[in-house]
Amino acid sequence: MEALKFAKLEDRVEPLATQKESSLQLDALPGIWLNTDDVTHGILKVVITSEGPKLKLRVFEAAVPDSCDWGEVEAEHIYANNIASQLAAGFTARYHLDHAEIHLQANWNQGLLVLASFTSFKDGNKRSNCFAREFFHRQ
Amino acid sequence: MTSVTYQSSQEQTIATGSIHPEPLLGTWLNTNTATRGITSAILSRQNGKIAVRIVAAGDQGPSDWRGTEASLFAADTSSSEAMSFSAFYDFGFMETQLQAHVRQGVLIIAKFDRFKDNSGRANYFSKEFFYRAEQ
Repeated sequence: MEALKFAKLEDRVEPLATQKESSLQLDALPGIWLNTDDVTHGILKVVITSEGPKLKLRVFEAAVPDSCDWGEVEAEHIYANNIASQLAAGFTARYHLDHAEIHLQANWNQGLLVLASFTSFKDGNKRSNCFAREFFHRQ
Repeated sequence: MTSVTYQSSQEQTIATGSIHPEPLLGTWLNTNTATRGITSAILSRQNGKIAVRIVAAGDQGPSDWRGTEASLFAADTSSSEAMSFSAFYDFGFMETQLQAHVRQGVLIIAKFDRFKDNSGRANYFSKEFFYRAEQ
């Protein structure tokens, strides 16, 4: 059997350790996730749903005077927490808003959803592109 | 998608300039000397941009991924100091999205690895921790 290519040692596994043609199990991720900081100025809530092998999310951000609904997007890619796992425990997604591009990277850990956001502004307001990391619990 | 025409409360501050990369520049070494992942990350200026060069654990010694452009991010919209970066590597058979941030002097790199070779390996994420090498 042909050896698998790898870019770092941790990606080298025996082919029999992998499970071909099976998509990740999504059970841990769908639901309504609320920020552990209820006075956040960032993301208030994330609603995650699954449709077959796909994940969709809807983000609500703190805003004045009310929360701001970013709308629904499909997760770009879904990840396990190790190379031989079949349990989905993370995802990436992108929002293309009028004023900013936002790349979200999420992972699920011990019941918490940890969401990192990378915001790149495109409205010429001289705001710095910024990073934030927030924690969410199930509703 | 819903159109957003107003700013969130987090975005209502005004930054005064571009993001300075100095807090991230230099060589960062994995706190785990026996790692099977990334052993070091070197951030430097190259032709007016910021590049990250990753060295990973390889089969027969270090595996140099070479440099790729890094996007810098501050802690908030009014800060001018970089505390985070993202970068992307495409190896053909797999691709890796790196997202990193500094917390209390430690650089935390999250790797989102996605395999494209139909090998059956699960796409997965992992984190590693780095300290700044003495200069």
